[in-house]
Parts: sequence; C-alpha cells; structure tokens
Amino acid sequence: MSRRRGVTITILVLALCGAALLLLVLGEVVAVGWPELGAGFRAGPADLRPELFNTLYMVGAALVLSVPPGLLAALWRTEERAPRLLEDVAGLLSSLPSVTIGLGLFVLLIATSGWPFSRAAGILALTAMNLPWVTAASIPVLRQVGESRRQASLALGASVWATAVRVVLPEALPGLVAVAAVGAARLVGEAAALLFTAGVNAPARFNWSPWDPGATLAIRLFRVGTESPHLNAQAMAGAAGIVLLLFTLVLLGVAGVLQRYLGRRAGVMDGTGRPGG
Amino acid sequence: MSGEVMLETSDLSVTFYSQAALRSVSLSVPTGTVMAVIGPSGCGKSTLLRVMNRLAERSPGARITGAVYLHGENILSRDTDLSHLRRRVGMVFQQPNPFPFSIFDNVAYGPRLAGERRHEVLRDTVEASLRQASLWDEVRGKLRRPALSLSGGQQQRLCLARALAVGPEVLLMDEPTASLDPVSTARTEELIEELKHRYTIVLVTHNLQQAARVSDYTAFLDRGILVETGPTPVMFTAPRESRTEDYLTGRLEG
Repeated sequence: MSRRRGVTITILVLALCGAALLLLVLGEVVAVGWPELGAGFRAGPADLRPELFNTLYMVGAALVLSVPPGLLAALWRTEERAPRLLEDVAGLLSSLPSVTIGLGLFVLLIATSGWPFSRAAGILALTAMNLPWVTAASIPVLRQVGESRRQASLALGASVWATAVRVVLPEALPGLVAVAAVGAARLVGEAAALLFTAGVNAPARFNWSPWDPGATLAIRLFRVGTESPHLNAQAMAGAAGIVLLLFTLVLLGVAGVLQRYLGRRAGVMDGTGRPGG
Repeated sequence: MSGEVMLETSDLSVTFYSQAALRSVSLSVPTGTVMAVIGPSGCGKSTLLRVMNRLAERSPGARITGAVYLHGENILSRDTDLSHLRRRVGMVFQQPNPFPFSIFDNVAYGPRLAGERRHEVLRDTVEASLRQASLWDEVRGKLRRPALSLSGGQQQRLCLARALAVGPEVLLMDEPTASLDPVSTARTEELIEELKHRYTIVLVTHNLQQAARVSDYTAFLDRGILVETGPTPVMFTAPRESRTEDYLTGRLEG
C-alpha cells in the first residue's frame, strides 16, 4: 500500500512540476502580450484581425479538403481491408517534418508554376499535412467499433459501405470529432509549412480572394517576434500568442463538449457491454 | 417435411491461412426442418454456418473450396449478389448484438436497407417480426426506447426479430442461447419449435440436450470433418460411428 502511495506522490509531483513549467512559459506569453491585446482588435500596425481571419479561412478550407478523403481512406482500410501499405504510408507521411511539405509545394507551385504566396498555396500545404494525419488517426478509432455489429449489419444484407455509413460511422463519431479537432489544432499552430506557401503578409484590406497573401496568427507571431523593427514587437507577438492559445483552447473545448454530447447520445452502449467480435 | 432440400454443401473445405477448418463437408438440410450442428469447440461448426451466408470469407486468410447450394444454386459462385443472399439467409449470433438504435430502428434496419420507406409498411413489418420473436408483448408502446436497455434475453429475441424482418427462408443460429439464462434459453427453444414451420433452421449448439430437444436432424463435426449426420432421434440413440457415441456420452478428448 505505502509503496503504491509513494508512486502516486512521485507522479503527482512530476505532473505538478510539468504543469508549473508550462504555466511559467505560457504566463510569460500572456504577460508580454497583454498590453497589446486590445490593439490587436483595432485598426493599426498591431491589428491581428487579418491574421485571425486567414487562420480561420485556411484551416477551415484545409479541413473541408482533407477530412472527408482522409476518413474515406481510413474506411477503405478498416472496412474494405485495403492493403496495410495504405496505413503505413499514411503514418509515414503524417510524421514527415512539415517544413519539407512547405518546401516541396514552394518549388512546385510558387517557384515553378508562378503562383503567388497566397491563401490557396497555404491551404494546399495544410491539406497535404492533414490528409495523411487524419487517415492515420482515424484508423484506430474505426477499429474500436465492435466487429459483431458490423457482422450483424452485413448479415442483414447491408453492403460494406452501407454498414460503414449506418453502423460504423455513427458509433465512431465522438472519436472522429476528436481526430478532426486535434487535427485542426495542429493546423492552427502550424508555421513551418506556411512560411514558403501562404507567405508572411496579410492583405491590408479585408477580402475573400484565395490569391491574396495568407499569413496566419502563428506566422505573425514568428515574423513579428523575430524580424520586426517595431519597438513594440515583443508585445505584438505576445498578443498574437494569446489569441492563438485562446483559439486552440476554444477549439478543443468545443470539440470536447461535442464529443461528450455525442458519446452520451449513444451512451446506453456503456455498461451493457460491447460484445467481442 | 416434403423431403425437398433447402441447403446443401458439397465437398466444402475451408482453410484459414493454412489451417483447415472444414474438410470436404457434404451435408444437406431438408426444407422446413431444424438441423443441429454439434461437435467439440473448434470443430468448424461456426465456420460451416458462416459459409452459408458468406461471412466466413471476411476472416483473414480464408480460402473456401467446394459448393454450397441454396435451392440448387451455388451461392459460392462469384456472381452471387451478397445482399440478396443474406436477405434470404438470416443469422442470429452467439452474443446478442443489437445496434445502439431504438428497438424500432433495429428491426426496421433490414427493410429500410432494402428500400422500404413507407412508415405504415415498416410499422407492420416491425410488429409482425416482434410478434414472431415473441417480444411484442414486452416492448409494445416502448419501440422508441434504446435496444440496449433491454435484458440479454430480450436483446437476443430482438436480434431474431431483426433477422426475420427481412423475410429470410433460412435462419442460421450460432449458439443463440450460449449467453442466456435457463428461462430465456427455454423460451428461445420454444421459439425455434414455432419458427421451423416457416423457416429452415441451422442451429449450432454445444448443448446436446438442446440439440435433442429442438432439432429434426443432427450433424456431428469433429476437427472439420463431418463424422455423421442423420435424424436426431436415431443419432442420439443409435449412432453409427463410435466417435459420435464417444462425444454423445462425453468421452471425447479435446
């Protein structure tokens, strides 16, 4: 008993140390950025709204482009027993350094094909990052769905795809929401792949054009924090950092609530047990 | 018992990777009867059942040779429409496996897949199927409740109703009472008695008394080989093979 207690205390102390360290770093960001936060939402050099809009625009578009095909690829693997290679390649691609994806697209689109540094190029970079990641992360979620209910559906004359749509996806939905949310959070914080593609500028005047420059909050944080000659640059970067953190927290929070809601809706499942396949 | 054959396997062999599960099994199931399939664990009983609705081929490494005839038509042929086949050959599994939907939606699942949209038709089908599965009196007025709130025995009868709702000719039952209490088991056995007038039933069971009580014919499988088959009373009182006798009297090793 006392040994177990010792382990518990050690883990607790380590967790507290980790949390304290994290809070220290994040606290620093908040302390530096706080004075400029208000200016971030007014016209002027510290205005963050163009970058906030770019982040929403590009991450939103990249999710629309990457989640459905990524999920389809994952279903193809788990439901249609597509070759294992698919899973391996998705895993490999999703762990590539994102900066190499940025470089590849830069050479392909901007240097060779004459695209501008733009939201469109940034969206493609984020899509390329997210597609294999969604595939690789969805496969284990889909595998969690009980094989016995798949078989029940097939035995009633449902095709593999009808089974996927009517039985597998509804049951996997809470987990898939988490996959999409964590994917989105990864994209929101991405900078490396966007430096060469979306560029480091944001349009001076609000517009929807995909060909306008697409600097995001994360890019602004990097750019202003390292390169800007502005006297207030540190504070401006800090403000971008605060908005970025809040954005991510809200994203994950909403996903968590949604996940719990969906989980409860199918909740009768718990307790009655999931018969093994 | 017209003597007409509903289902027939011919020289049927199944291997998973290189492990033989069934070896050259030839068995016929007369229309409107209950065929019990008995044998020690791992003898290939479940595999035999799963070949009859072609679920077996989903298992990794499965290789199937020979033929399975349904009304004289080889269902193992490449151009068999699997959806059509599985609507004709329904299945009830060892563990109750209702979907996490309402009671109504569980039973209406098959008819809806087949394209039925009219609510009155679905309602009638659901009621008729639940009545046949003798669950109607317990769930009428509660059809919107989650299926998983039912007891184990009720869930299994719900799965039966769900299978009946698509209008099958054959019912495959894979140890349907294995996870049920004695009362639910007795109830399910009565149901099988009633259902055999309308359906041909293949029942896998490890419960010999159950086989003796409800089946007309029995097939004894051992290590993938069909050792003996015949009318149940004959097989249980005067088996031809000594291996069958050993199994029936509990003297079979492994």
